[in-house]
Amino acid sequence: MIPKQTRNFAGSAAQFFLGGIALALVTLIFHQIHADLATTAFADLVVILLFSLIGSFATAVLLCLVSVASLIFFFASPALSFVVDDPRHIVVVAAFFVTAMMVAWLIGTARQEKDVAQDAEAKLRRSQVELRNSEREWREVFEHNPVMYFMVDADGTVLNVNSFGAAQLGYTVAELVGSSVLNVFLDEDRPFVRKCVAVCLETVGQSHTWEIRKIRKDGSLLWVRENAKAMRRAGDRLIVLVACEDVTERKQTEHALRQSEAYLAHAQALSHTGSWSWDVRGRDFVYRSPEVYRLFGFDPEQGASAEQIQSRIPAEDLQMLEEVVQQALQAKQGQLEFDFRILLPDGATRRVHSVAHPVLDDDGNVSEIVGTHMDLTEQYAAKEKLEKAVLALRESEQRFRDYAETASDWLWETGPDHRVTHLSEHASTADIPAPAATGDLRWEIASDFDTEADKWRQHLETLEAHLPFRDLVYRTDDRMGSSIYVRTSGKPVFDANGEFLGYRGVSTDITASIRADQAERALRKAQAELAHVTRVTTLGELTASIAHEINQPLAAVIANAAACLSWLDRNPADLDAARRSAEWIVEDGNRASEVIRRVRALAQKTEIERVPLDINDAANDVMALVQRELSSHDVSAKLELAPQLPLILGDRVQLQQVIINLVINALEAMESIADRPRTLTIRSGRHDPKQVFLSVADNGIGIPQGEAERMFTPFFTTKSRGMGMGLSICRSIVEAHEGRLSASRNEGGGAVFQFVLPEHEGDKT
Amino acid sequence: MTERPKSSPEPASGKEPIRDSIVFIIDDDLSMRRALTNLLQSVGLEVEAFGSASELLKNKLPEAASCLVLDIRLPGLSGLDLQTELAKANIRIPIIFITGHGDIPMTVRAMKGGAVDFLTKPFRDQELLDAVVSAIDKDRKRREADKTVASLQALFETLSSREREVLAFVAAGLMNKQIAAELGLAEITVKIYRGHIMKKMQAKSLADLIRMTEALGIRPAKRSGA
Repeated sequence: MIPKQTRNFAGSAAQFFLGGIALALVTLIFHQIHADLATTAFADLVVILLFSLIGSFATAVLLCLVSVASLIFFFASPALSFVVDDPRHIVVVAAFFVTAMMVAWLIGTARQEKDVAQDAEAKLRRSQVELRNSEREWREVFEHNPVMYFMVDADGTVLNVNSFGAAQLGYTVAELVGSSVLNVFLDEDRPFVRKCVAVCLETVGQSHTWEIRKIRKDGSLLWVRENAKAMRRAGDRLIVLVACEDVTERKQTEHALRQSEAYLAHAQALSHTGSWSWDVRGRDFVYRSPEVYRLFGFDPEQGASAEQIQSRIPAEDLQMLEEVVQQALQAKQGQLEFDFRILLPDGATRRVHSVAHPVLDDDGNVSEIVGTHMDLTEQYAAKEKLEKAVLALRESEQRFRDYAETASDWLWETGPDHRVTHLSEHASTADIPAPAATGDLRWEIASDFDTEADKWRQHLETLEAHLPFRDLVYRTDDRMGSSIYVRTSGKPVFDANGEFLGYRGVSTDITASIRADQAERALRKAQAELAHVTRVTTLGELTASIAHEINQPLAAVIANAAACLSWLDRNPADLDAARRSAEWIVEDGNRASEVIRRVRALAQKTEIERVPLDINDAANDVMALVQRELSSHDVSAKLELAPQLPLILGDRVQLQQVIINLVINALEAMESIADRPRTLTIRSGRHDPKQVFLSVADNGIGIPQGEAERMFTPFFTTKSRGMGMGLSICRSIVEAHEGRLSASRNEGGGAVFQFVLPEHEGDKT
Repeated sequence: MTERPKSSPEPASGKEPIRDSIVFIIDDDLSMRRALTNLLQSVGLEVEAFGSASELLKNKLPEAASCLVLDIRLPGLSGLDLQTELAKANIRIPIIFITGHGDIPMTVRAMKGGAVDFLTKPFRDQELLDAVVSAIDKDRKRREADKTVASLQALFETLSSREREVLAFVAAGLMNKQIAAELGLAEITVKIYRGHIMKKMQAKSLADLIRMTEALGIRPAKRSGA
């Protein structure tokens, strides 16, 4: 307003200045021509009117006053003074003044009204333009805003739709207008649309928002977020305005997000990885993925408190975690990695590897620690297994290395002339007794080449025939000059054309094992001698029985001989009776000698002799010797020997010794039995696989608890006399026969001793 | 003793020196049983042999002079057990034990049980034959003695109770006067009883009567007074 007033003032001043000049010119001209007052006043009036038309009312008033002053000064008498003495002049001046003022006012008023009218018109015109602009803008907004606008009536008929909306749905506006809005919705969604429209109609003026799918003309779908509001229109008609925003992308993003979350959860579940975020200040988790709960053995649906979770971490690990967190708080950067264990309620232990990093707040302090827990239990187990396997492998490697380094084996190669061309490295070291040297013939080094000519002749034939050989044992001298035994095997080598190139083979110093064999032979001999000694001892114990066995036929011989004499002395001599008596004498004599034969066999023999034999024969022989022993112990013996048993390969005497021992043990075990008949049962039969058994069963005192095995040890005895070697010798005899001797309880009380021996594989009788 | 005695029995004569007699043999060993039978038969003895004690017990022993040659060790019932069993059954057959290897406790028990002999195998034939003959002789004598006692017993049964009382005092060697005093009788009454006794018992003399009381096992009565 201020500049306008200034402008008006400046305008008025200019008008006043121009008006003043015009008046001055008029006054000057009229004064020169000596025009009278009335004429001049008239001319002035014209000037003032003219200026009133272009200038303001105030200017006109000022010009009017100036004009009055100049009229009075120049034209009213007396001239050149402001005094008016002619009353006509006063009337003229007054009339001029009133007229000028009136006309100026009228012109000013008219001009003002015209200005107002012009202003109003301009304003109107302006507002019309603005309105048009605004409408255009709004229409553009309506048409081109990427929002679909629908206007539908209460029945759902589309009243209007913006072209964007129609285009989005693949229709033209004309196609949509007049049709039902339901056409752009899926059948299944239509009830929902109706319901939404009904809600809008019930609550006029309130806007409602929902998300729904729309179907395009081509059948494709889009997700929209609809904002709707019912309004009253002219005639009280209700319409619903709907603005729809295409949220398909958002929906897809949401879906993708959901899916990716699902994938993440899935991936976490699969990889046993849980992610979490720890609020440092709140000292609680702000986020834990479901897998974290699962790792700790909780149901993700039910969740668990930080305390519950921490209670499943062993105390030492928990302390370690605290320290790691403290370090992270101080370091404020970097990645933390730590391992800890989870103790599950079922006792299992999970091993977890955790990776985390601190998150800083605006002030640069650690506010959160975000990380992952990865279940490495299986990896740990696999790792342990692997470590074990590696360890085992390493051990085995070391073992083979040790073998190789300490083995007395050496490798050799010979050329087609059987001269040594190559010896393995350690064969030449000082402690390995490889006697050959490169260039030697292999048999030149043997010290038994002359003494075992046959063996070497055969070997040389093999070599000439270019055949492989195995386990040739020969004697030689090592570098120190002591005699050693070498076992060697070799295989001929041919080139691609089948040309003989020589032999390749391996040799071993078997001196130690040969010596061991010798020692074993000595041991076996000692065992045989011990067996003999105990056998003779047993025979000593059996003296009374044996004496009886000899006495009995001897007594019969004497009685029959006396009878024979008597029959001959008769008159006449009864020769038949005498002959019968003589025959009996022979029989009984043989019987006695048989007993003596058996005893001698048991007493004398120490050499072991393996022959195919029937175990039943051995048992029968023994029973012949111990018959008296049985009756003196008041024991009745039952023999249940299976007929036609396969033969076994063994030493008859030693096996009989075993049976005698078992029988005598059985008799002694029954000595204190008075409440039942003492029964000894000897059985034989087949035993799987391809074995024969013989058992001696008694119904005596049985085997004391826990002594079933101990009684086979040397010097174990429950008797006041005896060496306690019996069962121990028996077992070693049976085992030397590749058999087994065992003791068990007899079902009817007492004990059963049984041995099994392998069948003889050779020809059977 | 090295010479073979040929006095008795005399198999060479072919006679039956021991008539109405039988020898039982029990031995579980067949050849021994056979040899013993052979030997005893060769001297003309009747023999019956068994393998076990129970086999013998099944048979009723004949009323003839006999003896038993018994192996001390037998399956089942042993020789010593059989001896006990026979004694219980009041079968008083003389037993000759034979054994392969006799031991002292067994011998003692056998002898206490009334064995007539105990032979260890192998034994000389004469040892056995002598033992058998003497055993049969002993059995025969026992059988005869048994028969005498039985007839005396029958005579004794005919005595009245008063006569038996008097006989007991007579056996104790008391005079008639003393017996009368013991029993409170007149001397003449005792004398009459004594006559009846002599007559009923068919005693030829006082000594004969005394021997009869001994055979019958009548215990002499003790004097109450004095």
